[in-house]
Amino acid sequence: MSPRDALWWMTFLVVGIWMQLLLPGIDALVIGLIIALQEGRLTRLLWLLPTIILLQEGMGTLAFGSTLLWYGATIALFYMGRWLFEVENFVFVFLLSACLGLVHYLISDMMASLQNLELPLRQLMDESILQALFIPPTWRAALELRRRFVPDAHPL
Amino acid sequence: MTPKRVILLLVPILFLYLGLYSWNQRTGTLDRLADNTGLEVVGAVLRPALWAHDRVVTFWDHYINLVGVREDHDRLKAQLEVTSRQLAQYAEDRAELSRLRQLLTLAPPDDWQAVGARVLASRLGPQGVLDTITIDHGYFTGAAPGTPVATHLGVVGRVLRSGPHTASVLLLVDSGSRVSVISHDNRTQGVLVGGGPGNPLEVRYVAVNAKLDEGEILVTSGLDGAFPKGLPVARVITVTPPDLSMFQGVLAAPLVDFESLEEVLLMQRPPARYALQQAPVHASNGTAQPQTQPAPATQARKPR
Repeated sequence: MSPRDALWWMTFLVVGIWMQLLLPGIDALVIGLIIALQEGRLTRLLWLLPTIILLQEGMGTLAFGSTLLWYGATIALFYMGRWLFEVENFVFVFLLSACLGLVHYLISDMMASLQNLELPLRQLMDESILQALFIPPTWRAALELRRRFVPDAHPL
Repeated sequence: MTPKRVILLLVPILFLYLGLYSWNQRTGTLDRLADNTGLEVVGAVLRPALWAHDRVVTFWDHYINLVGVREDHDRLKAQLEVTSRQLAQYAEDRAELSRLRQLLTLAPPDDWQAVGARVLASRLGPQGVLDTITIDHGYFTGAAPGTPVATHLGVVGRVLRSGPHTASVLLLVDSGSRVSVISHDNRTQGVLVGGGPGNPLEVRYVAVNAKLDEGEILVTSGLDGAFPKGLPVARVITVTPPDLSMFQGVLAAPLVDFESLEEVLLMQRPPARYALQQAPVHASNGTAQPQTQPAPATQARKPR
């Protein structure tokens, strides 16, 4: 990993956490996972995935485990979508984000039920829709910035 | 990859996940790992952002946005006069309370200490499903899980999870929150339960014949052992007589505005309870002199 690449990822994580401060209930770091999957470098996933899992579990309020399902579902949906679309296709990312919005709702509801927690379902629904709408434009902006800052980062 | 292979791959992953989840539910190891790493890093990342935000807001408020400062000054000056008079009255009441306690040989409430902490954020991340705030204190700095959190207006909640220097606080309004309360005037007891975002709090187990007035302040009863006694918590909004139940339906509103929280107080339980302080009462002015040294432990310790 080049110094520019490392600096980009560090900046991404910091800005992602700040974005989550502004948008409660939204996962901004999943954008990084999607970009890493699109670039297809397994070594990057080996450090990025545990890092964002620990960050999200640390700032979350559910018992450890929901983030594993959330990012596991993201990876599974990504590889399923790869059979049908080009990974940098905007339609692919749009469909992926729509599925992730639904997954966000289902996982939060299921994990809260497992822990005997009552969730405000209306608020959860709003956050799931916002999560689905948040991913495509943010992914596009992050990808453009990455291409300019780290030109040698090639997608699949 | 064939469907059969996918299933063969998914089954061991599912079993591995369930095993990991159950093991963590039993031991809490992964939760502690996440608190000590993820939560701590998030706190470190948020502090500079909060600092920059504060500097900008302070500069704007102190040097640019000065509209209404004169009016504020006059209003605060008048308020200070009223408060000074009230303070003098309260000092007299406090001295009288000390004398009466000595007469009745009652131990004073535990001398809980308050430690200030700053609010870093509200709910964070996709798994932040509970109504919480993140503060810049952790278990090294007085915010162990279970620590009561309050402001000068009233109770905020309790520390839910904590890393070394960052912690999450479960707010009073969360539906999982429970606080044992007593009404200030009528001394009616109940359990205050959070109603979720945007909903009023509910006071449960208020007996059908217990007296409780609308507008009455609820304070912590201290019976749950989690909060010091006497902290204001909420104000009663409605009291509804029951149809069939043995308990009244009571709704209350929190005294603290959770949307505008910036600083909170962490209530620190004293290390040991002290015996009744034998403060001498000066007959001339009626004020009690506080005793700074605790009584010897052999005499002082009381059963918890």
